[in-house]
Amino acid sequence: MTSGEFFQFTSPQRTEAGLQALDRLPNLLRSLGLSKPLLITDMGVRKAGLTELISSILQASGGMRFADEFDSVPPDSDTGTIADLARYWHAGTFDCLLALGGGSVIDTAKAGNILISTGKDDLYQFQGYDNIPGPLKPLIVIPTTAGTGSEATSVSVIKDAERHRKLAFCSPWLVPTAAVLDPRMTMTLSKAITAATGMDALAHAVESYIGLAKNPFSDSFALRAVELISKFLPVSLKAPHDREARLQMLTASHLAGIAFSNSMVSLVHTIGHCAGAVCGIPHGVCMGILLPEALRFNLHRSASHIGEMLLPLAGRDISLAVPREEHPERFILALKEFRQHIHELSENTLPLRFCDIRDSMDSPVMTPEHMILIAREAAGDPSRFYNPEDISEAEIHAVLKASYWGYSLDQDLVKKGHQK
Amino acid sequence: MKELMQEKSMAFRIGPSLFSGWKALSHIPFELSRRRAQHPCILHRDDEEGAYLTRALRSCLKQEGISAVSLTEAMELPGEHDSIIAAGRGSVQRRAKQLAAPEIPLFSVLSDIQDCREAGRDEGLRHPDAVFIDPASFQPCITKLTADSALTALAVCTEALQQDRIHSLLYSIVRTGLKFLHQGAPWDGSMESRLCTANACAAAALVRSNSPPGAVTSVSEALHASAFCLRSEASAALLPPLVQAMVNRQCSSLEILSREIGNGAAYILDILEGLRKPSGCDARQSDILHFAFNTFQTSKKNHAGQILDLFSTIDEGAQS
Repeated sequence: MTSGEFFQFTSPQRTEAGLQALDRLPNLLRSLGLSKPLLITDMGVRKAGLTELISSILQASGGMRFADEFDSVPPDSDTGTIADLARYWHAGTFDCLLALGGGSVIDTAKAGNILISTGKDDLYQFQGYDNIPGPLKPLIVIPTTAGTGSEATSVSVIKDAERHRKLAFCSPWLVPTAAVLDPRMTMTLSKAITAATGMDALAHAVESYIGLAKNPFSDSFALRAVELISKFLPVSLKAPHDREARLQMLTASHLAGIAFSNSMVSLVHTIGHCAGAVCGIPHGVCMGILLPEALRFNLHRSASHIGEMLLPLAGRDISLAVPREEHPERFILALKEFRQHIHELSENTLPLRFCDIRDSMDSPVMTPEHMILIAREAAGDPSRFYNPEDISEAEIHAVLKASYWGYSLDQDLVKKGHQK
Repeated sequence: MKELMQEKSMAFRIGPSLFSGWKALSHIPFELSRRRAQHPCILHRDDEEGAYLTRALRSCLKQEGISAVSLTEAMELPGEHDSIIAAGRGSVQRRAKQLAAPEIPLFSVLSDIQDCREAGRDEGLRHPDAVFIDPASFQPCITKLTADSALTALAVCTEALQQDRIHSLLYSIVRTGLKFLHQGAPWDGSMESRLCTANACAAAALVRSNSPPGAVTSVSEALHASAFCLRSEASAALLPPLVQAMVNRQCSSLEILSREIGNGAAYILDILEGLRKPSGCDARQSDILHFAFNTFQTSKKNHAGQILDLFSTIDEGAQS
């Protein structure tokens, strides 16, 4: 961006981070004047014993406790769950929401908070940008994955159970009141989830750095996130109980969340949202697969920005060894190398191509018909407006096809032009 | 990898929304409306700067049909107001933070002249909900004051890097502040460099909200308060030995910066060098060093240890 160009940067939430950050949860609640939290979580988190740990921390601090628990959030939360949550809230007496979980739980808490705080029962009227009329109830978030960054963002994405599509809500009022980053919450994650969510965080950081709404603040957060992910995602996979590495990944995800909440995301998410909705492929997996070729599509518009990420991703030695004009292409290569490394460390649980994802009958989860449908849906996804280059349905299909087979995007299909 | 490890425990908050650049002020009516406020009270400095900012502010509110009472910082707030817009640097912002009830929106309108506290929490006071920096509201350039603000921001950001295990959230804001300062060179009074300074000062205020001031900032403020010199003069005199001390002890946070931009120490000193001339800081440097050394070498107050370390670096430099 040129100096003088307008930008806006917002990050109102409090962040508590540290190896024992949850120990400060009782004081955090007290400082906000809160004492009756409704815990929102899912059965996976409960089975992992994470709710018990928090419960014991609260209990040890003057007998605090959850006022009640709503633990029926499904992996891909939908409008029905949101309505259930709102009813649950209104049937009890609570003064805040405490979300403990991954992206689905956090987004459920955010969207549920819209209905809870406004007293309405129609979620559709609040979808889109800035359609929430005012401040919401206090929401404290404890992430149990390091990827979505949702604990820091102004966005919530929920599946529309009736219309089989995603509903997106974006408003500064959706940013949680506080986030607590404690590595004890992510130590038990499987390698597959660690790898996929890590790639999600990387996609947030990279897209934030090349998007049209980037600004100097979001840039710093994004670059730092890229460096932390480059260093600590491999460590988290090699040594899952390395608390420092887990904390750094939570921090990286948080940084990337702050970055993209301000600069928005673009083509990788444009296609990834739809691939997830149509084929049920996990979001982080889509991000890892789509990232290189989506960047290649944008190379002519964002070359210098893409090149600037080589240093934090690949380190000083490679950055110094490669002529500056080759940094953009080298970054895409470094990204593929990094992804391959993560694939191996995850014991091959992170797919590198869509064609490698199979269902229980060993059939491809994504078919050619699906690709046509995904491209059509993606062409209407609002995130594409933040992409550095205009993109048509046919071009989305080409990026998707290249990512499906794992080949480089045909240069004849890449538009010509200059940096924006 | 040790240098990347963060402190074990930290609490961090940015707080205000920042609106910066041309037309930033035009967002105020919408932001008021989003917070259901219709009757703002403008609090401004009783000087030329306050008059400039208030005029620009009134104009953009008027376009949206919003009328506002305006008061100088010494006056009492009227009964009928649902929001406060504080215009200008320093004391008016502190006054507004003291006066604003927690439930009413508090906005800050700032120029390129700041003491690097305005945009953040200030000694336990609340932070503004939104900060607006619009070159259209800057008064005619007073280069020395702009440079003074930039040097204050430089000192705050550099001192935050002294922490060996700086948290990535804080580091990101420090990095942004330094980048704005670097972009602002040369400090020629152009609107572009002034806007960079204003943004850097806002970033520095967010750094101060999350990191206690170090020796250079403390000494600079003490000397400024004693009317011995401007903050910037003290900062300009004390930053080189501070940076040297950070290099000598292989400060890991400086290393992180170096990995991004080549040489972190040179980057900071380059900014400083660019600011010396417009701030007119060179002339009294030796006086300031002497005065600061005598004043603080026996200090038992905060930062006494850091200050003595700093001055031993100065002393070694002088002897060599």
